[in-house]
Amino acid sequence: MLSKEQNETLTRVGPGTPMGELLRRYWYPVSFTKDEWPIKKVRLLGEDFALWKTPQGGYGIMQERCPHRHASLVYGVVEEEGLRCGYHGWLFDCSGTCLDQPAEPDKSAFKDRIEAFAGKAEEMGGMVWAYIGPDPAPVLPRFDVFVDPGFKDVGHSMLPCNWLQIMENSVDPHHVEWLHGRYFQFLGEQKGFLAPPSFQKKHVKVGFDPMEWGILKRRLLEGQSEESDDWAVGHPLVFPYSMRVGGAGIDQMQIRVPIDDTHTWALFYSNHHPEGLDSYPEQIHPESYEYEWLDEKGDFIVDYIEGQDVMAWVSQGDITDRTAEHIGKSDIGVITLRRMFREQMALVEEGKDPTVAFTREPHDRIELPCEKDKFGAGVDFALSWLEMGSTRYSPSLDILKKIHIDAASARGEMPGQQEAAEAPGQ
Amino acid sequence: MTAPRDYPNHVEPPVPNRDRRLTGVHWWDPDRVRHLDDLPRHCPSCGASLGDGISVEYWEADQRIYHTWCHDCGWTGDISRVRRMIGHEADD
Repeated sequence: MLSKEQNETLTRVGPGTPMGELLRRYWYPVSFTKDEWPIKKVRLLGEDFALWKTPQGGYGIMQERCPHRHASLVYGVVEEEGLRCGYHGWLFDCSGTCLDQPAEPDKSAFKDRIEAFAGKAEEMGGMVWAYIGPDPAPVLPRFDVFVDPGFKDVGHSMLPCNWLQIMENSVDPHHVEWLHGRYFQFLGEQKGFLAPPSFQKKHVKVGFDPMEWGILKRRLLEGQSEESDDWAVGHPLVFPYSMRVGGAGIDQMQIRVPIDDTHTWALFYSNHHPEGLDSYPEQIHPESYEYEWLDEKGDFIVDYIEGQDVMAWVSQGDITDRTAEHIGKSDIGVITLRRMFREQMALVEEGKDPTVAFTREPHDRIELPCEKDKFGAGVDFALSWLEMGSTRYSPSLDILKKIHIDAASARGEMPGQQEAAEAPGQ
Repeated sequence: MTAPRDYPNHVEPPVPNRDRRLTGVHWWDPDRVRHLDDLPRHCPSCGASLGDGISVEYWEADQRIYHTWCHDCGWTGDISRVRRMIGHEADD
């Protein structure tokens, strides 16, 4: 349970709020590079921006409203030097400097007094990433999922809830055996399908270790030893808005972009690279698509893993009322996360940089710890992931299944292969 | 207001005026009233206000515990109100 003031502090993301100031110290994905657009509107942390592709192959991002008379720069003109407002032709470069005011007298120095707010935008992993915080900007962290070779697949949807209740789900391992285990099994019994048994295993204990990139989450399931990947390796909540998961040749970053206080762009960015394959089908851009989470009646779609998560996140309300929650010992991960947010907010309030998931060191790749042997389920885990997860909406579903089946065959792990290898006379 | 189970003669104090700011569908929830009553307001180590820190209440069996972090001195720990000192209890 939190006080109303504490809940407000933890959930409000707009400019000038403590959480908003902390979150403005990080980079966020705001668009796919494959989309056909010269300029588009993006909303991030409660503010609207114009994002444009420069003729030089880069990206610019600046406040949506022109400083002149506030017309939208989304309806502007991309030029060699920057973005020109469609209303009266004011021209801005990528740093927000006003370069031209064509209707003003030739000798006027008015433009020298005008500066628009401009952020920074870079491409990584087929997405445009934006930074809208103070200078100097940190380095965009090049996490393994985004830069490693493999077949990339991204499901995404805009959800009508605050990003924090999604993040709190990432430090709540117990929900897996219930929401994706028992509840999924119950649905399967009603509707006549087999829910993935690997999600039904009981948690014996859970652990949370604050680390450089966030909070490392561990779980020990019934029948496992502490040498199992789920406990010995675990996987991290990547501060402040992602979670790294995976296993069985799938690496995934679950990304929750705080669009504003009550909307979150929730992406499942996966890189498929199972052992046994040397190459993957060629991709120019990652596959990207919207996953469905409401049916035609407006009810939650809960017969797949992420749909169940979305139900749990969104059904709490747009900003869940933590003054009325009742949390217990099994929620210590949630408490750990709230404390980390408060500690990092305090650093920013003191004029310092955050110390978690914040880097100024140039680098090529950041490897995050993540278990490979997930729930001890092998290739079955990968196939369950594809068929019982948001990937079922992917236009590349068949390609992905083939990748994992071919890889398992190359490793000799497909059902029938092991029996054949063990059969007498073989 | 119901009396705690282990105090048959206990009378819960009336809700203080300040709790009238409780709003929403759970405004009558006694847990929320107790939460506001018991919420630590100062650091047990340095005495600073916890307004800039955080105190998150959670339950462990009958215990209501506040996991607390002090912004001023960095003290981190659990605070729990003790209603009765209890030593070892025989199993039922």
